[in-house]
Amino acid sequence: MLRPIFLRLGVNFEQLAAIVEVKLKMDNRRARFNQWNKKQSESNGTFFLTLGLYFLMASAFSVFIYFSASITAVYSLVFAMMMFMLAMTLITDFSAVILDSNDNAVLLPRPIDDRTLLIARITHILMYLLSMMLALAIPFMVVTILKHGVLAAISFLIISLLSLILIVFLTNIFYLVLMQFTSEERLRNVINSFQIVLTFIFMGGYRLVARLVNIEALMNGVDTKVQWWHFLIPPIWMGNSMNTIIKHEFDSTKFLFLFLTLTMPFMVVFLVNNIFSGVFNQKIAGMDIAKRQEKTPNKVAEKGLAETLSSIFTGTSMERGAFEFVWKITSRDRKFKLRIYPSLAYLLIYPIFMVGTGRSEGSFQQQIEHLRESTGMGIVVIYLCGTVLLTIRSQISQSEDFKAAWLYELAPISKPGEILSGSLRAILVKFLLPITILLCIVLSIIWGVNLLDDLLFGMLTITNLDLLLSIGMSNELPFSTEIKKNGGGSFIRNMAYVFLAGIIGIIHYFMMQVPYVIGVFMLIQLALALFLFKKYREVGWEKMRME
Amino acid sequence: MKAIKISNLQKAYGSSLVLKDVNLEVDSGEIIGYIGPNGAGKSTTIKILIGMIPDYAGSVEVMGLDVKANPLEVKRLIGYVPENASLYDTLSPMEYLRFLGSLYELETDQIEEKATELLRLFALYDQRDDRMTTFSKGMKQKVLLISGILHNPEVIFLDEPLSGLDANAVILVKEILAQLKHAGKTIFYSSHIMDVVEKISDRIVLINKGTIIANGTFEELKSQRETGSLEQIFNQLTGNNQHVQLAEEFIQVMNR
Repeated sequence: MLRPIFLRLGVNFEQLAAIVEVKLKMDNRRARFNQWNKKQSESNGTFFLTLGLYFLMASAFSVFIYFSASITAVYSLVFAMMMFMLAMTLITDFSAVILDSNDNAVLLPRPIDDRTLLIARITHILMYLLSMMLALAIPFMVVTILKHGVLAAISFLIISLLSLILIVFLTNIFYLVLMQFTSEERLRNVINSFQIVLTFIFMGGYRLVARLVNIEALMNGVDTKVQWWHFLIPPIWMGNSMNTIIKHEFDSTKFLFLFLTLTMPFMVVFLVNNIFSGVFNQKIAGMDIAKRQEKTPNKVAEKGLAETLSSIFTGTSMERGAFEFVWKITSRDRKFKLRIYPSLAYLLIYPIFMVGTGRSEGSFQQQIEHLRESTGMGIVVIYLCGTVLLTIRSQISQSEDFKAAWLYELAPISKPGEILSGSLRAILVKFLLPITILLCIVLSIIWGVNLLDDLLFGMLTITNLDLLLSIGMSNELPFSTEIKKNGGGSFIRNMAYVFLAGIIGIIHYFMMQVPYVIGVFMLIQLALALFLFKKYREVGWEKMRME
Repeated sequence: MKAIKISNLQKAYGSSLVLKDVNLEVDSGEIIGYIGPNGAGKSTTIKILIGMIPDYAGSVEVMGLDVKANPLEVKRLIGYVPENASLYDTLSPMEYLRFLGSLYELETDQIEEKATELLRLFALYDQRDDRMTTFSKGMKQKVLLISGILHNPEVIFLDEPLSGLDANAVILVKEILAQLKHAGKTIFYSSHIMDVVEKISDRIVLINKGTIIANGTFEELKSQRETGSLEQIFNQLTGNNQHVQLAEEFIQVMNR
């Protein structure tokens, strides 16, 4: 069915189908490095969980469609939300797939043209994003049928698919433009900062739409006047198009929005396909070669920060080894950074946007004043930043070099808990500590020093929560499992953790109303943390995951 | 005390029996050449001996210790260099060895001193603080060899240890093996390169389809078979003698 479209693009369809089929097959067979025998697990539980979560979120959100008076406003918001969710998954979970250089050895010596290979990669990702998009779109469609009829719902589906194509190829254009203007060598270094910039752009766009479409517009149907820059924000085209389709109103602006909605997705496909595809494989191939040539800047200091810190923060020899090991690999493994930094940026930028755009009017000064009055916001910021810990924890067991984990089986390790504990300590010192210090400064500036005890309490709580979960559940040793490429892995865990941290944050908020309570509980938390660390060190092989 | 004692060892993956009734005894200070065709059960035997696969039937002892009952003690006494092994190559050799040493709970100073010396002997001294991402296969193999013996093990399991090494390193490793034997260490050497096995081994053990089909010195094997090289003996015992015909067919199919 899709064949003519692909042929139209100048793609060798048979090759493309073969590549995508094999890739999907491999995704389903991601074997975990495991303790005793090498069996395969064929299920992708987390992926379906993510879909379920998306479905629930969209269901909750779809109520707006029913009650909103402004069609333009509500659909702009819906499309903005869907595109934002997909873009974030694309950046945090699929960057590694787009920039994968692993199959070079297999595919590049074969007679496959650049275009086919690039489109094959994108199609592979589209397969996953399509199912996510549907999970999001179905609840909206149901409500659209109820409110505006079947025709509107079908239009909604079509525009959703167009927005999916737009966002995927747009993200690709960002990457490809970057590749165009950087050397292979530099590309590897700037890619992380670039992802952070992208996160900023998408999040900024999303917040902008959310701000435009304020509650007033949603409820009373007062639409903001069309500004020139509305033409730069795709969800607004789409929201206007939905309005046009449902209300049958036509004028030149409306027509332009509809025109953009219908043609831009194909424009970006055309751009990617005809202009950028040539450069892509060449650069990807280059990334691999450059990897072998970097010789000089390769020296590592013989004794560094890691050794000094490990002697301060760890007890046993195994713990110390694991501390240094995790510390070093997290700063060097490019793939790890590729996976972790976008989500770190996402978590750190999110509070800033939330605080910064919570009130839409007033000068910066007034906003700060406003914030000062609500200490609750400070608590929210603390707990949001604390979730950084979980993001890293969920990634730390994964590595491209997961096969090197055979050494854990070989060495006489009586309590793997020592390695886990060393690894956690490294993460705490390397990531959570700097964030806490940064927050110290930010919180002192906005709310003064009286929130600092709350900050400490919050970070301790999050650490303890993590320890409790780790002791209670199964664990994986650092860098011992294959990288999960099917997406969803990091995103859903973040969501679940945000939920838990949210509940604790609310309890915290009520506790801080009573003087001295936080101080007392902080001592309890501290004692608990020491106790839990001791317990964590004792974790034995039976608590390690082996399938 | 035997260095290795395997009696009635059986191992099944699902319904397929990979090892059927393996019996083998190895004395301390022996170099055993462990050979067999692909999929014969060589790696499985080694993995059981070093405690990586604990669910098997039969009894396996290393240095008088039952592997199933005392896995940690056994692991402390053995060294293992797997075939084509991965290592965390964003680390430098020193860092990798330091991490490994900490897993064996060795003293940091001692690990560093030993690792530095061993790297020097393998001509990797100048690269000791370089990340291994840039290393060739042979350089990584040298690091793996060091990682297998860093903790001064009594029994050393080597799986294709010479792969990727240049001729100079090969000569050096062979000499090291000979000297390790003089020091009383037991070496369990698994390889497909028959002339190396023929030269270095005190005893050759041939496994095929999960059972040991030959066990003796090279001279003993030769006298039973009247053929010249270990390669020919291997082919006689495990293969069919149709390789000329198979090669012809291969070419025919390719030309189709």
